[in-house]
Amino acid sequence: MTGGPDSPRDEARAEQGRALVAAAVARSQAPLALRERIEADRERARRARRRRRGLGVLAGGLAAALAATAVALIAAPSGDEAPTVRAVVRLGDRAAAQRAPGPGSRPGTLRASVGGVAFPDWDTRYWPATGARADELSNRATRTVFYSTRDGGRAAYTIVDGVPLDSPGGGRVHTVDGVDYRVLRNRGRTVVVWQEGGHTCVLSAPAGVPGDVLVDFASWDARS
Amino acid sequence: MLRATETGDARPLDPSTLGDHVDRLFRAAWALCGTREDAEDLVQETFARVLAKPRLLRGDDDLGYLLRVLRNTFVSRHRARERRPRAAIVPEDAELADPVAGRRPEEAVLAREVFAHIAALPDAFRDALVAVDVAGLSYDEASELLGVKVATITSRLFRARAQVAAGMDPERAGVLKEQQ
Repeated sequence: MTGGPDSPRDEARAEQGRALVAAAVARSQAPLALRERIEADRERARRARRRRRGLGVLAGGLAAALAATAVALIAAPSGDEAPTVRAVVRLGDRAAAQRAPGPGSRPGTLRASVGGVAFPDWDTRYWPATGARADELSNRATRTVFYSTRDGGRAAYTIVDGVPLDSPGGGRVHTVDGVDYRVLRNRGRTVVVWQEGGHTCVLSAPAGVPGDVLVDFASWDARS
Repeated sequence: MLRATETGDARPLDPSTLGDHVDRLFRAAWALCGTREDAEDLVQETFARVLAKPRLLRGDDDLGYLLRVLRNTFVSRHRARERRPRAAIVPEDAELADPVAGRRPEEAVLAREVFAHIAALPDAFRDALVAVDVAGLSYDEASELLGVKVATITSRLFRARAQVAAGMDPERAGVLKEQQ
């Protein structure tokens, strides 16, 4: 069969079909329930792999465990390294996989936290939470809550479990109530990095959001 | 840094990034199956297959790989279904239980009609349209995915689009203009 239009009428009809499909595509997205099921499957698979790895080490005895440790150190030297702030920022590019958490018991917080650090509820500041996701970076659990900015952009707030990450260099440091907020630019986004409750927090938003505005949001909980 | 495609090295598929492709896979699945309910099942089964064991990919095209698994899963499900009697039929208005569809019923109807028409196309036309117009692959990527020449993709795509338009209610064109 050869391609191309047979007549102007065929061409018009094909163009109409293309527009119809484009309209249908633009108006459809995966239901949140499906995302949640997939996320649950992914989490189950991750746990199963960990269990298998753990059992393998136990079954092999001490010598095998020592050998495995040696191999792991050689083959995966970066596995035990802390994730970089840049890797944490990249989590903000990913799609939400869970519903937005609801309001927490403490005013101004959401019902989501990492190591006792609660995510802020910015609904009253017209940045409502829109979704969330949980990840693991270099064996560190992370949780990200997404917010919709006033102009419809997407902000991502990630808390990394465990000891604080190495502070990235560069940028400007704003100190609010004794806390240092480092403002950076990364891949077209404004990024603020700080420590809270012994954990690293990373807030990123589209480049149109000025650094001082982002610091104001990041430090909002500290002021209340 | 050299990409895996340039070095020829295999790299593991990162399960944590799979969620980034859910929307496109869901639309592709809807266009293959013809209903939202079947599409949800197909996407979940596809991810379950991918997550069942670590995957090594050559190249950096996660979406192309996932679409290939989706299509293979669809074909095997379709064959299995053909071998057994149909058990239950989900009523069409069940989709209105979806909160988004409930808020924008006209848009939900448009999407439902379009995807149902795509699903009813001959397999070769449907696959080309799903790859390019629904999943957003380039002609080259679609050619690689489907194992046919780019010229064949172009031809099938043209016919598929024309058949979708021909099968739709003519008044839909008016609805489309109002919504754009």
